[in-house]
Amino acid sequence: MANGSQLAAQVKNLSKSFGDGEARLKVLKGIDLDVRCGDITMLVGPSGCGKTTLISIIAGTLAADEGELTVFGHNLRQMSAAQTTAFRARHIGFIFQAFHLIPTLTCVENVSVPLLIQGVSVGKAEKRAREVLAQVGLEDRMRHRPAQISGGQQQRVAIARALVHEPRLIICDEPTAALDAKNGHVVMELFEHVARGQERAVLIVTHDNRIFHHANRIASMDDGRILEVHDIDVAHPPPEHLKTVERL
Amino acid sequence: MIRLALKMLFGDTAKYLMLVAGLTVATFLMAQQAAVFCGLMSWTRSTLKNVPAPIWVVEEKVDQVNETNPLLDTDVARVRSVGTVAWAAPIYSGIQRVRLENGSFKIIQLIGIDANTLAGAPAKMLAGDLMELRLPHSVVIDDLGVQRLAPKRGDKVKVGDVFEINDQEARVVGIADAATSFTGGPYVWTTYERALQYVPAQRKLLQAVICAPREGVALEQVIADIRRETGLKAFINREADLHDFLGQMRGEPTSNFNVSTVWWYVKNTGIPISFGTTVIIGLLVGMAVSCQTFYSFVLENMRHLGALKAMGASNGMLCLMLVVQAFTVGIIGYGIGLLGTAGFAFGALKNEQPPFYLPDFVPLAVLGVVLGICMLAALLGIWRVSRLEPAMVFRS
Repeated sequence: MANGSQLAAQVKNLSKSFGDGEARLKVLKGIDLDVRCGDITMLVGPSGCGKTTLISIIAGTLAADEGELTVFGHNLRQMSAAQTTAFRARHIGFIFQAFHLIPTLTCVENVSVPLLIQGVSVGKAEKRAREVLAQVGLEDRMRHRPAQISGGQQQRVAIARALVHEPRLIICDEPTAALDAKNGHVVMELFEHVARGQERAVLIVTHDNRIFHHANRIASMDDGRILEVHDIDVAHPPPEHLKTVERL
Repeated sequence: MIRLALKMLFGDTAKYLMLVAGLTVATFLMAQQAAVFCGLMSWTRSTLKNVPAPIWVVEEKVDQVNETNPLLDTDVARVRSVGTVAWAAPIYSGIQRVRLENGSFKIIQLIGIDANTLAGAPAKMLAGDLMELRLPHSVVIDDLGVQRLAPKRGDKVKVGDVFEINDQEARVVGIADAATSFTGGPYVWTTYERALQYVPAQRKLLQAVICAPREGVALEQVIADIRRETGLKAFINREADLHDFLGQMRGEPTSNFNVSTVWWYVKNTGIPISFGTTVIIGLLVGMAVSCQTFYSFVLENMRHLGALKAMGASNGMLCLMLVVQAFTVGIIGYGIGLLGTAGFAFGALKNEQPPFYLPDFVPLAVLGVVLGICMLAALLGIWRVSRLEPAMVFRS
């Protein structure tokens, strides 16, 4: 645990609704959450409880209706759309459930995308992409396309893409959902290295109770609210009821 | 990001080939049909090219060179009497039939020119001697006639060969280089007097008078003088450009016989509608195939574009990627389409048919249309991408 570490994201009384009139649905109802650098924070809860909406708002890809959202000291709710886009490009790394690797690009090209978005030259971006791919153990898969590698390797390419521009907040949506236990473990060890070794904040949405023990904090959600936040360490393992969170 | 956009485009081989094929077909149809139309219109004024004279004088109701009303023989003298005219000569021009050695008949465009001056004779001889046209029964044929007037397919007419026009002997004394006639029949030159012997007797056979201005007098001045002093219609015979035809479209009067002739065909025949329909079909096919395929390409890539947007790619950056993709297939499709048109042109010019003439503005106009189609396709994609919410990538 990294108590006293810098706050990556601070969420206060955040609300979000979708739809209008009678069809209006309040998805987030006054959320409070701190995401710290050096921690792996997991958001858990049943489907439809608002986890994805919450990470979308923290990532700056969706606007909240009410409340405060500060990411690395910047109030995202006061930023224009263009400023938010530029902020995302610089400070946030994304790992999507479906990876969203571009099938026609090689692994190196896929990983270099965040740097190209920032305007880095192709040569420099690919050099850096090769370094990061080597760090995730894919030095022999650099010229392969996503369809030519396994699901676990695709996830590692996605992780490399999320890390290549050295963001301080990494947002992951179900990173182990498509992986078997062994590959899931490898991926989580990578996250541990990234979070604890490189002092970055990793925020993970997951249903996968096999990986709960990798977290520093677990925030369990239901019906648009955070029910409880557990700090996890050797002395405080994940509570038993969280292991059945899927059934809540 | 442009490199990335191109890799995304080329990586989807099926869609890429479909887009290029659509634009290739559109380019080919538009350029080839426009060129055949321009070629056909060029053929309508072949007589003006093959009977070179700076001024043509015709009956006052005449608008085009292939349909002239007869004049009185004295009209030649009346034109000569105009003060600003240096010389004037009679012209017979009409369609006749020749009988070949094997008994078959062929259509020809018979031209009768003044025997003394040989004014209106072909500008370039390929074989024989133009001066021998003054000998009895002599004719000069064009290069198309070399094949068309041969008794057997594959044979060639030579200087000294003989055929019949209206049961009268016609001996070839020369072969000239000439533009193909609108009717497709070869040009045959002879003297004016002999032409009148070949043609069945009529009261008036003079079709036109060709003349030239005195030195230092403007052509416009001469035709005005001829019109005023003789009541006949005089036209300038010079090459026309796009500007001249645009003037006709705006309803401005023309004194250029080339413009007047072409415009007569545009107004009074279904030729422009026929070719225009095919050009519009080409445009619509290109537009439908390209826009539909590109839109489908964008939809299929929506989750990748959404991921790029989430990772910080701005709307402007994504729009630029789509524009680059659309214009790349546009340029490639245009290039291949134009190459196909060039191949068609090669065959057409070699065989002297079908008519083919590609003015400079046609490839430029087709390029503009193709890029317009691409822009429309890109705009459809841009419309979708601009409405794309980056948070959608977390929902899939």
